[in-house]
Amino acid sequence: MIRITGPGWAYLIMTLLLGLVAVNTGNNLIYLVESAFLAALAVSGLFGKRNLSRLRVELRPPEEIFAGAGHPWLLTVTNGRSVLPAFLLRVSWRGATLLIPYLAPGESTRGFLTAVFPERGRRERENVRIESRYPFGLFIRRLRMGTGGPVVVFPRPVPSDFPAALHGPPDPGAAQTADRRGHDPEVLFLREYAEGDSVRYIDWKATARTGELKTREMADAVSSPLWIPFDRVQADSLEDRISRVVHWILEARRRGVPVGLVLVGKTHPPSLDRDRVHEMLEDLALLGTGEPDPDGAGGKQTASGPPEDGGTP
Amino acid sequence: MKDRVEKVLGLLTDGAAWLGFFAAVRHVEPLYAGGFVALFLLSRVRIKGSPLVVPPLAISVLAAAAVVAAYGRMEISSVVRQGTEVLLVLTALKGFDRRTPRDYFFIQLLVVFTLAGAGILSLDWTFLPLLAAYLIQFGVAAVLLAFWSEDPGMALDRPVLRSIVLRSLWIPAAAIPVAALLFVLLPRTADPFFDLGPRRVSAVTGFTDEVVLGRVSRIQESGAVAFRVRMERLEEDALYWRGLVFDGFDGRRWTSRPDHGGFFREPIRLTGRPVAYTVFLEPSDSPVVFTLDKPRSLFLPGAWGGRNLTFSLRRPIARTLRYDAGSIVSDRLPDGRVSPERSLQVPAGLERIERLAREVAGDGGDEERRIGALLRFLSHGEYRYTIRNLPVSERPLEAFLFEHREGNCEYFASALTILLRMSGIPARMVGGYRGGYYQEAGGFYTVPQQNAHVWVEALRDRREWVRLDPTPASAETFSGTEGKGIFFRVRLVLDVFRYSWDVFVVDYDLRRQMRLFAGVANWFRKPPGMPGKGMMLFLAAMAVLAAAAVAAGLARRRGFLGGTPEARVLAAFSRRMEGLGYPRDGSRGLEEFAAAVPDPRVREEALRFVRRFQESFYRDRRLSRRDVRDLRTILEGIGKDR
Repeated sequence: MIRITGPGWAYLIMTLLLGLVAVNTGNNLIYLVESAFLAALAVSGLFGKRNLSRLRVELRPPEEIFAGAGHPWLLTVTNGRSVLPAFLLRVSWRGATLLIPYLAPGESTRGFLTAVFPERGRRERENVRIESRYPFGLFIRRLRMGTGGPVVVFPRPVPSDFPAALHGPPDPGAAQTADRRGHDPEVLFLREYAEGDSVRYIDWKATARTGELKTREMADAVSSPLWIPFDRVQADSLEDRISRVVHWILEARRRGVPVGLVLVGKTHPPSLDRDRVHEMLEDLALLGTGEPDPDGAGGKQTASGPPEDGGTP
Repeated sequence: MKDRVEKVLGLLTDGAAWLGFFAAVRHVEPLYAGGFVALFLLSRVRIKGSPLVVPPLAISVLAAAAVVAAYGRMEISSVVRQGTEVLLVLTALKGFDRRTPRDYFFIQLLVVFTLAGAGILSLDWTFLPLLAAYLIQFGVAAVLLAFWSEDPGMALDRPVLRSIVLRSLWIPAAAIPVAALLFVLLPRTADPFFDLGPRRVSAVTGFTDEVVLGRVSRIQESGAVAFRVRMERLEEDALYWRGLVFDGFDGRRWTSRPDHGGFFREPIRLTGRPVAYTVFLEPSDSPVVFTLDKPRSLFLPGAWGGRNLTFSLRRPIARTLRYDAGSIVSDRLPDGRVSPERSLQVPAGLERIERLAREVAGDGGDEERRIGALLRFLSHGEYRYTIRNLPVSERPLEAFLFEHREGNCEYFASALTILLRMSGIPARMVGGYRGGYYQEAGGFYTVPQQNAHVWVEALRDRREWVRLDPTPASAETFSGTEGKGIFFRVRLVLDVFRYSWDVFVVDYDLRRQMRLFAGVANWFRKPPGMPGKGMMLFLAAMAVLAAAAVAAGLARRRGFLGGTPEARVLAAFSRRMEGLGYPRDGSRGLEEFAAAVPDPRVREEALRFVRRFQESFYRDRRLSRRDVRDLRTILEGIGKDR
């Protein structure tokens, strides 16, 4: 696709005027000027087209993409030509742009494009747009390039207190399979008071601030992994619930506490393993989107689906 | 840095402005030319490193003043000149306000229109190099402007900037042949709607419509071209270019009567060798059209001629004029109807000359003998040819014949004409040019102004005019380059270009375009069997170029040429390994490939190469010369002792 710039219009109008003068005067010197400018236009078009040929673009996503947050994507542009350098490339993608003034033949350059995906779920990457006003800036030539398949955007984490009711292992078998890390005696997070909590762990400052009893969850107290039964999380909406859960998963991981997730029809055993956590986040990302998750479990679950009891403490 | 781009752009734009100036300067009023220079220099003045700040209002007022001053004169005939004058001043004024890419682009556009104006005003070949230079600088400037407008703060280091500038030069280089093709193809019209051609007339120092004796003592030789004639080469004696017949003389001044009509109605019977030719007549302040002595046909709309075989247009020749003509090479012109009174007229008070005529030719007797005696007296007597020490006198003919005895062709021809008339033989002077320099390269004669000449025609037996040339100047004077100086000779060489310019550019019109198209169509319908010598040379040159391109492409592919040093050294490695019987599969990594070589010694050396290569390359730096040298040394060692 080609867009004509301001100077481009000026050039075209000038060439048109010169053409009129040439024809009306029959003056061959004006014909010469006209020919020169038409030729420059044609040749510059050719150079502009060539400038965008045989370029390769690779866009590598960050490890985790959360909805609503800006993440840098690693962009690699390679000039696949053996002789001609590429000039003045502007690479745009999802509102972010990177300007590459010069790319030698056979070489690559890298940069980051920060993109925000507002919604969770499986998202197409959209094509990268490469445009250039090379050589004369009279036209902007554009082309679009695919950069790979869809990515899963994890739900946006929303900080909230950890519900007391969710604390503790759902069953001994699951607990045994969990990773165990993070035994530092430090505060993991605050959660609602639950019956039986030791008075020693009540955070009086937070209680005074919120008007509700808050218990400090200590790392050393979490000798057992954290289980999150999705259906039992209290929230205003499905999105809110997902966001809270995501926050807890991330927070637990940050603290080194193995975390497990119980979804309808699918249970993720507690783990700190990156891939396991990603599976949980991915399932949450696809929840309610009508799209089956990679394992096929829980895919039919919707926000209005009846909560099931299995696997919860 | 941005400063660097701006600096290069500034230089290019200044260059463009001067190109416009040089193209236009000969056609604009000195006030505007001077105004351009003054404003340009002022705009470049730096006070403590800062440019002179001129308020935008002042610039606008100056620009408006230039427009009013130029068009206030209200000369419709010179509308293009006035426009060009304004453009020059605006270009210089814009130099004060040059900050954004848009400003630079605007100056470039102003220069284009200045060039176009100059193109209308002049048809001179010097336009071509100016246009080419403009195009080349525009190619680079426009690219830099594109960079600048993309990101004003862009940092470009020197090598990158150099690469950008060098690559930009390819664009005009490629555009020039395309422009040549477009020039040929762009549609022409049979009759242009507006004729804005040049009306200014260059001063001609050679040929004049009148001959006045005794006024100047020295004639400045002008190497400027009067006309060019495309024709076969002729013997020197035949090269008399006929312009005007002078038959009235008042003692100092020769005058010419209009040679009205008749030529085209009543063709004159001429005998001799026919010659067809094409004349490219340069602009002059005279309406006279020249033909080879004696013309038989002339294809020039608007020209009129008569029984004197001289032709004129109704106006001075304002632009290069091209016409086809045919002549019979002959020194005789039959004319049985002439009334000899005017050709026998002699001014009063020339008794001394009359006595001389009687002395030399005698009284009565054979006409042929009298003519011969008078001609010999002047051309083989004691009279010498000169253009330097001419008699300045109230009675120039007497001064020439009895005192100075030196003169140019005007004196010799005048003297012979008067002496003939005094001997009772009708005679007249013919003004035109003599000789010319044959340019083998173009197959044409260049006739410079300094070849302007007058000779005599005597009416023999009241039946035919016979050409007599009493001037004792040798043919060398009019056709040889000996003693003419290096400039004259360079000028002659350059004239081949000027001629080509006139023929192929200035003169290209609808008729020639159609002829060209028809020629091309014919060629496709019925290609000629064996190409000519020139075509053979062209085809051979093309074949050599194509072979060179293929060889370069192959060499590049094999890594001998081009690409990065890394690519070249890797290609050399692959070739070496292939030579040892280990062709490298592109999908395998370097190390993997080297490690899989069965021969332990080769493997060891290959691995050494690979590690040394990776050591440099994967640290994200280009291979230095030293790296390449080391790698080549290792490469040479691989499999050496096998």
